[in-house]
Amino acid sequence: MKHFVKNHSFKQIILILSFFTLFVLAISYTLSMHYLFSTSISGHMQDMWQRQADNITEQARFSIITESKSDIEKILLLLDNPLIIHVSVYTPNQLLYSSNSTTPPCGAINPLSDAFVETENVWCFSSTAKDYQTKQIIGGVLLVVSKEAINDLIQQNLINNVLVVSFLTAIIFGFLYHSTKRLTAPLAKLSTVMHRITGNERGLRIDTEGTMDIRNIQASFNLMILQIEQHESNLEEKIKDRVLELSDAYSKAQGASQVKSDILRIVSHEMKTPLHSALFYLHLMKTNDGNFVTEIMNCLERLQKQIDNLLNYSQASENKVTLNKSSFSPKVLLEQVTEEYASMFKIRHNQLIVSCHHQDQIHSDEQLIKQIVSNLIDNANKHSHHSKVTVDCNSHKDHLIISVADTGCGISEENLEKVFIPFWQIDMSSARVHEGSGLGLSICQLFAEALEGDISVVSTIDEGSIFTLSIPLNPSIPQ
Amino acid sequence: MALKIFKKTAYCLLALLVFSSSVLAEKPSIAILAPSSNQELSTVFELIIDGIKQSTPQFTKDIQLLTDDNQDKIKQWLTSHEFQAVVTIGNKTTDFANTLPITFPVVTTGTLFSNNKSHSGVSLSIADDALKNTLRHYLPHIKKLHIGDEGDNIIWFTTDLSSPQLIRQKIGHEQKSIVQFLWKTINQVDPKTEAVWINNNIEHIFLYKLSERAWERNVTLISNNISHLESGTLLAIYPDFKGMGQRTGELLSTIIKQNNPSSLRLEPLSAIHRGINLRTAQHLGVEIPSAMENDFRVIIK
Repeated sequence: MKHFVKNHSFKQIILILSFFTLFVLAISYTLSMHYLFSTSISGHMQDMWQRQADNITEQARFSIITESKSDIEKILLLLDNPLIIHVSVYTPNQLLYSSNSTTPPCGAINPLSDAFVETENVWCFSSTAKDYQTKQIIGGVLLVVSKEAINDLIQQNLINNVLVVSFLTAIIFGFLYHSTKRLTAPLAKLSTVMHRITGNERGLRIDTEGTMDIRNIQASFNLMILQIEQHESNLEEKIKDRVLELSDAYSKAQGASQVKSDILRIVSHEMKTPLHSALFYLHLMKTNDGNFVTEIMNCLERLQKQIDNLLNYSQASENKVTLNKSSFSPKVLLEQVTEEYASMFKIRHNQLIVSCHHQDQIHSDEQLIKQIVSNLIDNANKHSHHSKVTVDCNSHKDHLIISVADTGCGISEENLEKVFIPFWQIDMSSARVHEGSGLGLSICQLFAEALEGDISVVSTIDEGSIFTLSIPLNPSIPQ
Repeated sequence: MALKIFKKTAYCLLALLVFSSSVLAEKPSIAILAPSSNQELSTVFELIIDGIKQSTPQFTKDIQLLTDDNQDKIKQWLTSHEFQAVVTIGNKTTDFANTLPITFPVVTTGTLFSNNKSHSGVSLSIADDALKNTLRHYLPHIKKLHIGDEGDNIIWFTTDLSSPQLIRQKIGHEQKSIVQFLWKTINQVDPKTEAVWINNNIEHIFLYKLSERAWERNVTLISNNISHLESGTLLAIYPDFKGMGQRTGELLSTIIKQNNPSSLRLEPLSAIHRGINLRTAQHLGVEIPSAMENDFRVIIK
């Protein structure tokens, strides 16, 4: 049964079961009707012929008593039934009359008894004539009737039954086939759609049709598919996002690695350059080619400055900057820085213009502010040539504003946000024009934050850049 | 004067004595036993009882119906009363009464017994004299009457040897014997001078066949069953049951007076009625004058 169910469709199973049931019912009905009809008609005919035999006997009683053959012949002539194939009349002592000379095919039936014998082709009825007063048997009649007609009738009835039942069975099966086809068509469609969906087709839906429960199934299926597709779509979007994120992260990681390599290379280069210079001068001095102590010291100062920058950045990035606040004049501070960088501006043929409108002293860390301003001026000088660098100092509300503007090459908008990134430089190649480790602006930003201020930049390509430092005039006292 | 008064008183006392003895004397009582039966036979029994009552008005009579389930009750009733006689109607009640230890006489009526010596009363068998007289009066051309005697009827040895002659032949009770005798007789008799007696108990289907044959041969059929007239029998001579009762009552009076029932015998029935089928009579060429028609209680025209 399991094998049968497994290997056939729902429609096939219903049709096979229906056909089998109809077949069994039809056979049962036909056989039952045949049995009922044959037994009923046979019984009825037997009763009828038995009564006929009794009737003949009753009519022949007088003739039997008077032993009048002619009277018996008259009685039998009235019967005139082609189904009667033999009639014989007996007295207790002799055969009084026989319709024909053939021996009736009734076996050993006693004609002087009320008996019935049935063979394949004939019915034999024996009926006794009695004296009603003494109950003595005065004679008997043997009636032999052909079953041919009744057998033909039963056979014809069987054929008719078979034809009618077959016709009705065909109609019922046709109706069942049509009904089953209509009922199972939605399920077949559902199966087809499900199969196509498993083959990665999307957007398929089933038209709701059929019975109420099947329509509910179809509607639920459509809703389920819709939800699955939406879920899939969301999942794909998420995966796409994740892939993009991963790709981005990968790119960033690759970039970071490159940046790291560049930083290491730049820092190494920046630190090796003064060291090589110093070694070069020392070599010259060893061969007595001159006195280069000053140059060697400059190289070492430059190296020290690089190392200081690294240390400053390290401390600032770890918030380990220690503030040494004091009251000082920003104007004085600017004048000192201007004086320090005067020679370097000459080398670059730049003009440094300083103006300070804030005359009062402020209370802050003078060294940090000086470091910031120095870095900004140094940067402006390095990225300018034959141009002006303007340093302005002013106050706005509670803040001291120091801006350093140059008319150099400027910074593109895309790089503008990166200028405060540690070690980042616009040109990080080995063949870059400008020196530096790329930590100046990062240190400026970290120091400005340590001073509770901030630093910003606006720039236009080929027009120049303006860095603005804003620090509170009266910074809060740390708790 | 005193003597005269004494004589008158004595006469009055004597007259009173005679009157009271006649009034207070015990009347003779008889019992009548009749079998329970269908309505038709009950009517017959009532006629017989009426006849008995008419001929014995001085008797007080108790009547009991005998059935299979009240035989014990009747037995107790008969043995616990002092009856002067008991009248039994039919063979069954007569046989039953004869089994009882009773001392009073039993008078039978309406019976058919082959032995007339053990019973007193009136038989159903029609007396030969009555039969002959009827034939002589109404069918004078019939010289012989063939009778199939089943043995129940007593053969009454009559000294009347005048015409018509009653020719009796012993046959069996069974229908086969009766039919074979009648069929043979009807086919053999001379229709002009001989007649055939149809037995009372023959089946109608056989009677029809026999009548058909008799009709063909113009044989005269006579029966003691009035219903046979419908089947073509010319003459029915059947019992006058009231007359039978009256005759039974006369015999009963005789027995009580003589107190010697053994002196009486079973006698044949002389009280008869007659019926005739005029269509058969016309077919046979028998003329029945209109004046005679009043003699027949049943006439089929």
